[in-house]
Amino acid sequence: MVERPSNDIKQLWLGQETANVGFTLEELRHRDEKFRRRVRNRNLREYLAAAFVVPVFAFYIWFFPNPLMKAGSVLVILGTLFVVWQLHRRGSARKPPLEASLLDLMEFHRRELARQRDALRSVWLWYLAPLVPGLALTLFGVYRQSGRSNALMLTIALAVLVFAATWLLNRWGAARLQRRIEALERMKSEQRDLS
Amino acid sequence: MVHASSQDEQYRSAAAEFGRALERLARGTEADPEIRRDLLQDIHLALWRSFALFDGRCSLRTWVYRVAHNAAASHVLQRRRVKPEAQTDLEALEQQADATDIEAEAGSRQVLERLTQIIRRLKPPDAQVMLLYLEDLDAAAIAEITGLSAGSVATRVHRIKAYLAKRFSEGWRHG
Repeated sequence: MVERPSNDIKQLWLGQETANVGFTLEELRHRDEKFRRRVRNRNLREYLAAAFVVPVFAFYIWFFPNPLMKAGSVLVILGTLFVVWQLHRRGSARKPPLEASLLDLMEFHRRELARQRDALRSVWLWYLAPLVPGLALTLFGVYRQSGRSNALMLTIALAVLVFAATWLLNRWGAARLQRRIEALERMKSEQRDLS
Repeated sequence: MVHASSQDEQYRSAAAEFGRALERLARGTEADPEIRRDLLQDIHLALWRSFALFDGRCSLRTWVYRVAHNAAASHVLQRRRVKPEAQTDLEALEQQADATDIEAEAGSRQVLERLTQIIRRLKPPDAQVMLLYLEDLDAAAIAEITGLSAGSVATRVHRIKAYLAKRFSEGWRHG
């Protein structure tokens, strides 16, 4: 009763029309290179953004009269350089290593989820937090310099909101991934108990 | 590391032997035809790259399916980040199948389409077990590829068979 229909379905699955799509080695090498280029371009965009931020805040050091704003600009530059260093360091970790593709599916899946979870958990620390002290000090300096200003207060509130929302979204995403990792681990430990 | 020409040869031979299975895997993973072609190319790319490390530690078939299914799983993970879709497991699927056998009058093309949709909705590792079962691999081979125990695979395969029997009656063959 159970065997016959499922075997028929199996035959139907195996017998389905396929185009037998093939790829030449040239096409595969081209795609490999395209992927590497995409990663290189993404890193380049980040470096260009840093190359824009550093001279602008270097100009602020010279331009701003207030020592707080000068110190804030120095911290922003240092924070940006730290982010660039982290980007460079982590660049190669954005893709699973070749060896990972040989793992069994459960382990591969668990590691991929863990990699994404860790990226979400740590991005706040290395991508956003290094810029916070400099920006906060600069804004505080502007506040001290110009007195109470609604526009400035709004800018600060918006900045805090964006940072907080990014942090919360990342935490939420990481927690979701963690639940999926735990489900996979539960499945593995249940298997161990059964065997 | 394997010599480049040997890597190319091993890839060519594997692609010739398993090309159609890889195409069915891509079909069971991605609905959009254009993205599916990209996915298939990514699977082939992963396979070609993997042969730089092939050392015969397992059979060629296990190696190919492992690399291919991992590439497909990676695609699903990335795709879900961009376009979250509800996924389900075998248990939930079995409960949904309680209603009626709506495929009784359907033709084989529709049955295939429906089956593919069901696979795409399944969570890992249930989707992979169903795909590998449909590819006619036995429980031991599925266990080696997925990392599940042979017992766990056997239980899942049994449930898949029962589900398929319940969901798709024999009527479709005459449709």
